[in-house]
Amino acid sequence: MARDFLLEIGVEEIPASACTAVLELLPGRVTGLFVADDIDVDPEAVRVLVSPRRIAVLAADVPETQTPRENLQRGPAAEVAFDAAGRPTAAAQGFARAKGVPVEALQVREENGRRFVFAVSRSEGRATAELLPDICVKIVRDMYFPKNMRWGSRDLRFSRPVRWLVSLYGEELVPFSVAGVAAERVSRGHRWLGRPVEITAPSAYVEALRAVRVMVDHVEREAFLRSELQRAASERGLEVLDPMGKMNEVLHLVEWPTVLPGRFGEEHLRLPAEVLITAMQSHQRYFPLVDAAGNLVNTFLFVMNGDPAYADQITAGNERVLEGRIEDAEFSFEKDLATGLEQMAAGLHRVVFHVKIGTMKDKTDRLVALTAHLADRVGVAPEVRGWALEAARLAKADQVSVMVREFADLEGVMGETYARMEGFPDEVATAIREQFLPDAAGGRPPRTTTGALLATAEKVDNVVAAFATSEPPSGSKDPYGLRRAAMGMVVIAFQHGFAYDLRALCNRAYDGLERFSGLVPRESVVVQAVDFIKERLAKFLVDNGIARDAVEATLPTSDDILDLRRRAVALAGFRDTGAWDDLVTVFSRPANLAKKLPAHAAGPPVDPNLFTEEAERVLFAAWETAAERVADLSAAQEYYEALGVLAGLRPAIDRYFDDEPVRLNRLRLLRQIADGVRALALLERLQG
Amino acid sequence: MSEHKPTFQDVLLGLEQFWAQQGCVIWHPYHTEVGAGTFNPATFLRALGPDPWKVAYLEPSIRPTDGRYGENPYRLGHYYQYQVILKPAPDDIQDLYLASLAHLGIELEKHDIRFVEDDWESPTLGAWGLGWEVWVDGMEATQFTYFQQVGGFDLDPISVELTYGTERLAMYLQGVNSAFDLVWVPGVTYGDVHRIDEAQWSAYNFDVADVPVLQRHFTDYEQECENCLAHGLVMPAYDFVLKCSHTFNLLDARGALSVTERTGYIARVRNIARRVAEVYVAQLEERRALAGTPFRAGRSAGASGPMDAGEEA
Repeated sequence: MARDFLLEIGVEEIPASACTAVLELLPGRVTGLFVADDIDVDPEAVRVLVSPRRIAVLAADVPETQTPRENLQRGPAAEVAFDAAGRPTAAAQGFARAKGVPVEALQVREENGRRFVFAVSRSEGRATAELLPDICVKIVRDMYFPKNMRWGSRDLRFSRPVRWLVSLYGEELVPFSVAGVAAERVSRGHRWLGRPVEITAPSAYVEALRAVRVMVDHVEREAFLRSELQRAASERGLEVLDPMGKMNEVLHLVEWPTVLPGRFGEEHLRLPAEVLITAMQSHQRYFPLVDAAGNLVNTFLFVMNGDPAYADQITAGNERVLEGRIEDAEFSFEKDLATGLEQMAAGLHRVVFHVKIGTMKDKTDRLVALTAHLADRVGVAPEVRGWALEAARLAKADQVSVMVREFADLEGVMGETYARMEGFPDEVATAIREQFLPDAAGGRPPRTTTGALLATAEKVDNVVAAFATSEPPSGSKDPYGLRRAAMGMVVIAFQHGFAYDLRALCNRAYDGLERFSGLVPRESVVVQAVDFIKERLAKFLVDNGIARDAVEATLPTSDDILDLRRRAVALAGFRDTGAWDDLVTVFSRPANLAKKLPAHAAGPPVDPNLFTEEAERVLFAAWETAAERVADLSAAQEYYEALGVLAGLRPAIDRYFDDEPVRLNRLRLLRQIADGVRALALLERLQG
Repeated sequence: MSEHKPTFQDVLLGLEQFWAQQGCVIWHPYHTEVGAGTFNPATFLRALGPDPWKVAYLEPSIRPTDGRYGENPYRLGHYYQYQVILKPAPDDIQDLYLASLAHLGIELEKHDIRFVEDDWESPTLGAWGLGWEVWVDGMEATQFTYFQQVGGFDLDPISVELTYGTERLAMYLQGVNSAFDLVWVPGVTYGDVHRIDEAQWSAYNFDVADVPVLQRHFTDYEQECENCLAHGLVMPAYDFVLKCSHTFNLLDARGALSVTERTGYIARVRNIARRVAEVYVAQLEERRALAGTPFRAGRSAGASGPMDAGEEA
């Protein structure tokens, strides 16, 4: 026989992050607690539901007794327990007596290759109802949350205070208490629209709560919210935005949601869309709407938890709050416009970039230097170079704007907006915003060359700075998003065809850090930074289908992102051709023997006068021709062809190694000498 | 909401009356500038130790950097918080709080009132707590915090702190969009009372305050705090913590601090705040031991927050 189980933990409003943690971890934990008590519960039958004021565990078909368990107690070894005739010895009888079983009930079983006697008993399965109070206490007491608190004079730690408990096994109350709260049958409904409600059985739980205006199933609630938002938008021919991902928070802020439209003054639409979206989303968690052309409109949607009968009054309140937030943002916006970007840039020495490496002014100087370096290396039109330097000079100006101080997410966006309003060239304005692109894994790189130059400078400075201050990413920790930054450099290089020497760029980045003390030395920083960026390149290439070993074999051969891709692609392609074997031979035979060249003798060039055989002369000539060809092809980045030229050395190599008469003759001579020594003594038999 | 629109004064008196009825000591604004009611010793020091404590008071919150010359009705360098501390936090505290809103004339069932996660941390005070901002139709009406640690000490019992934004509440109740338009009493607006001082204080804080004088004052106050502590005079010592904190806020608003200096000043305030809390707790332990009701405060290992570090100074 089996019955359903319900535990509801009534809490003061828990945060969305706590709800997420509960949903991730609790089902497994509950199953684990049942299993640990030998209660055979199907993991699929355990459900966890959350709303802001409650965490509910529902388990279907929980057996009424424990699964009986065989208990084994090991006694003496079999040869001690029984005599030669197979009769139990005194040792066996003593053990049986101690364990309270008849001696004839002892069983012989093998353990780790030896035979022992065992006393075997079967535990009577205890009633689940007896075990549940303890399980309930453990569920509540050992809950995991990202942040915990205590309250009043209680010892329990929980996300927010626990205020009531409901626990039923079938129709029977499971009596237990935690932190001064005793389990009962009565749950609480919606704070305003509901009332206390008696839960008659676990199976009646969800509907009983619905009757008191609590949509407790978060999956249902989310589906409802999404479809209501969708409906409210499409009715108006509009589309819902949630760029800051507020859906999950909103979901866990409501028990009986209603989606309502609100409006703000049309005159505010002159503000940049990002400012309005930030005002709607960052604090108020409202959903902005856009028309078919993607333009923001002055209608928004919000989700409330109140009584739909008072929707007008509640909407008016929310509109007034948003109006205030937008007007406040407008004040900041006007203030910034009055200040102007140039004056903001002049104040950058007052904002720290990093305690060890100076202010935003220092950072700006480095960006200008790096942008110039890059512009010269990748070769851009003079006007692009000019725009890029201007953009670099103003890139961080908005860090001291009132808007960015209040809404950090708007960095770059405000810089662009102000630059445009002040009449800077479009490219300069766009680049200021694009410096942060790509801003997500797989995100869009800068569209403009100007932006691409600045974005690369911004990223390499961050990477080099992190190694210089010994704060590189490690494991899952990458607080400055440097892996994304390095990947961004790779993507930008490909997108914009930027060819530059990574090592020289990192060195240039370090130039700007040199005057600060207490940093990791240049040599170490540059090596680490270059390797770090190359690692991202390798990941990019592997993700794009190039064999990892081909990528890794080419990675150390160049410091240019574009060049490295060509090399890896050439190698991976060449491997599929018939000439691959030749190339392997051309490499491995010389490489193996060349290991024997002592380091002190490696310096001088090959001296053709010392050649004695024709094969040597032929190989040398073939190599000289090939080397020249390979150098030309490499210079033209024609690596596939270069590999082909090298593979073409195969006949000359083979001849060199396999000149049979000469080789055999040499071996014969060597054999005679060895045998001559052996005639006196078998030296190989001496020790050491 | 009822037909009658409460004046700003009605709101203040209403809160005072409600919490007086709950048995709170009705304290009064502290005599030294504070950035928040939390800095008042009726909160900071009284949250420490085992003794029950219920207090409510209006506290002018002095935040030089928040001033906008009286031009932005959403930003004030001087505004009024209504602060309530209940120690230990009663089990029905949420209901009690909601009853206080009803007492002000908000018909709860006709509004969308929500408890939205908002955790609080003050590295300067070595303090943190978990709680919410309470929304009334999307407006943040109150900060509701269960203190967990103060002055580096784990608290036991736990106090709850309610901080009402009185201007915002009154703006909501009166349906006005500018703090300066609030009716303080019929015929007198908030602007009549405070607009000129907002403008003048902004000018002083941002443009006029004498930086070398402030820097000297900071050092003097800091030394005087040490001097008081050396004599076991915790209460005067704590006043000098507050004076240091306010002087730092002025220097900050004046734009006089480089980033490194700023970090240094914050650390100096934190240091003396902790020292004061330590001496306060030690004296409390001593008094309780003598009285035969000993307790031992939970000294925390570090300045640890709930999990992650906070950003607020």
